[in-house]
Amino acid sequence: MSVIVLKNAKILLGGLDVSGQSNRVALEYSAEALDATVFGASTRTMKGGLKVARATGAGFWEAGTTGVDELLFAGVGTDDVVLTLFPEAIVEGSTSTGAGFAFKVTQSQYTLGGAVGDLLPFDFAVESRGV
Amino acid sequence: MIVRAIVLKDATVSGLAVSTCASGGTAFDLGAVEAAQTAYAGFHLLSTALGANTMLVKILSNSSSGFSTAAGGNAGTERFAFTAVACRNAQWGTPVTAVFATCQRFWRMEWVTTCASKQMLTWMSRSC
Repeated sequence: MSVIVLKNAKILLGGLDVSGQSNRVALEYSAEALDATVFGASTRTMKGGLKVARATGAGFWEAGTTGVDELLFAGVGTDDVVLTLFPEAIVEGSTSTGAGFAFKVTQSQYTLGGAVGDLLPFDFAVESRGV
Repeated sequence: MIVRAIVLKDATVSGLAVSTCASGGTAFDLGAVEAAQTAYAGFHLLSTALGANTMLVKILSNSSSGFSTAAGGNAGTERFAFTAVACRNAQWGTPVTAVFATCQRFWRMEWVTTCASKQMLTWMSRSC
């Protein structure tokens, strides 16, 4: 394995490949740390709780049937959308580079707009759901 | 729920070939899925409407590498059967839990569609 230059990430959101309209993507995966400290302790004891996954992305806005707008505008508040992210390309059967992450999400955010002279940007956020 | 996604079929660029009967994709050795583990799978159909046609996707597993023969005596066991789709779609299969009598190392996708060159991707995963 070697370090990867982030230049060929793949983002499949529902029925659309948004990679070609995106230039930023992030995946946040965490677990709640629950305070299980009791009397007599001198240091807090934390216990792992529920896991949380979240993804965000951004790029250049496009309309039309193959544009991000149709999917993201209609998708706000939609549950059980499937999102699959690949940090560096896609390789069939690979369990290392070329593999990715999949999760069921609720699309929570869709933003577009910028300053005069900008390429019209958009960004989105999705939150994980249980299976 | 988030899982690692191992791709069984990447047709995001070239698209799938027409198949009017279950066409066996390449079988991959993805490491053992043990008896008590859970398998996850899903797919994305990225192409616009397939007209009057649909695409049907299944995922099968087997414990032996002889699995690669699509038709015959060792075609594997069907683990995921997705609802037929006719336009842009993505589905997350019902997880398969603790039903594996033997370690399932080999996984592949089958598909049926009469539409040529439709772009899609299928993945699977297993619990740690």
